[in-house]
Amino acid sequence: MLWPFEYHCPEKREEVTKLLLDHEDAGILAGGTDLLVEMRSGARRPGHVVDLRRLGGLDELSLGAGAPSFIGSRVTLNRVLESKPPWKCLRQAIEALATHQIRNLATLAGNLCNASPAADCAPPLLVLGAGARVFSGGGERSIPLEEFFTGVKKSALKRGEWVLGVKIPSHPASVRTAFMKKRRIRGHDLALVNAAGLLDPDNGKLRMAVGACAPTPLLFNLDAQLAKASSPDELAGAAWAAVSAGLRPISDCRCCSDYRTDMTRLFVHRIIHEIYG
Amino acid sequence: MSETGMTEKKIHVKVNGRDYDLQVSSHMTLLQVLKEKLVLTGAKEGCGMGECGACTVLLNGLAVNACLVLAVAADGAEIRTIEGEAGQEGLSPLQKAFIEHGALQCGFCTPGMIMSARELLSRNPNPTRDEIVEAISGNLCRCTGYEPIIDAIEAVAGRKGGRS
Repeated sequence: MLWPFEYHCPEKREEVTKLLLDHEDAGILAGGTDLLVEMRSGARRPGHVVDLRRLGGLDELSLGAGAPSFIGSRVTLNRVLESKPPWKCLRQAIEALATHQIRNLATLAGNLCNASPAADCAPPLLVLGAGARVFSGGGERSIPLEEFFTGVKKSALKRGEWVLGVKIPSHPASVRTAFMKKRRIRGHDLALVNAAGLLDPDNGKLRMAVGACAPTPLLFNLDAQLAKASSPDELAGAAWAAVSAGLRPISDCRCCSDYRTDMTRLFVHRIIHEIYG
Repeated sequence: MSETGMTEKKIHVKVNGRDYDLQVSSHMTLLQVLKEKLVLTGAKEGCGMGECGACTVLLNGLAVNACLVLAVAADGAEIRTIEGEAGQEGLSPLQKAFIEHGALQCGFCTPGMIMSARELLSRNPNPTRDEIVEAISGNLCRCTGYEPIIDAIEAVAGRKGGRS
């Protein structure tokens, strides 16, 4: 049984902002697959739920390798998958996220707004250089994803701000990406560790991102390591040296910190070999 | 029209082809409304947190966990539950296949399993065995070991029913 709340279904963006400003305990409903679970467990007891389903423009989905992409905040993960995103890492992350039923409800933007350190879509979107398009009282602003996550379940959104969608810049067709996730079972489970990599050989760019190993998903710029490397093993070693310095894994109910570190090292090596080898 | 500050709301839903106008509390889930207001008790509440899939129904043609959907947010939706699976001619081919393959024991997961299979076959009439496994990966079964369930869905998909 859920705790009682007042339900709002506004049609104008300004009304959403006003509701968020008027009610500190308001929760936004897009897919609801995190919100309802947290309400059910008692982790969140919003007095007001603001449903985005009647707002225009949030179902917009435009994906393309050669042009900037936009994924509106009501676009579900399965819709993104069916649209065949050109980046392998994003497809792999969505396929590894929860279950088919959940992906029919859950949204890509919601996965980011929930700001879990283990969010599966965070590493691929970080390496792709994505950003959140945010509606604030005075208009719109963009937040680069690497500045979006500020702590466990905390984001850079200010009071009254909410996400209109996710922007992904265009990338050359030669870009290679990969995503890997370690979980306890093959089915529905949160990541013990997840990681993504992007290699842009034309522009000498290498990015890696790691989730569930710090209070926020981490992004690493490895251009310098790429420039110096002469073999996949050498690059993997240099990449791991940079990545390992940023990790702050904890031990919890899913695994111990040493295991997270070891799995991240394995993923860094495997991803480098896949996209660079 | 925008709706603001409601704790009770009238919704209209079409369930298994029949129209309903219902008064629901804002904090009721779709699963609660199906079971308590419409006495459609086929969808089960297992975990109540989107983990087990026992509450799977089709919402506008898509398999969803009814425990994770607010009833007020389903206003205007078309819903299909296990009660809509059998037609005037009796059990559906999926239901018959589940019986023929011994794809159920306690039966708690069966309504959700069949709804997940129904969605799979509607979007992909000839799924591979791996695609069947993926489609029901959000439905837990603690009795059968899954193989007979996969066999049953495979048989309906026009493939040979035996294990591959």
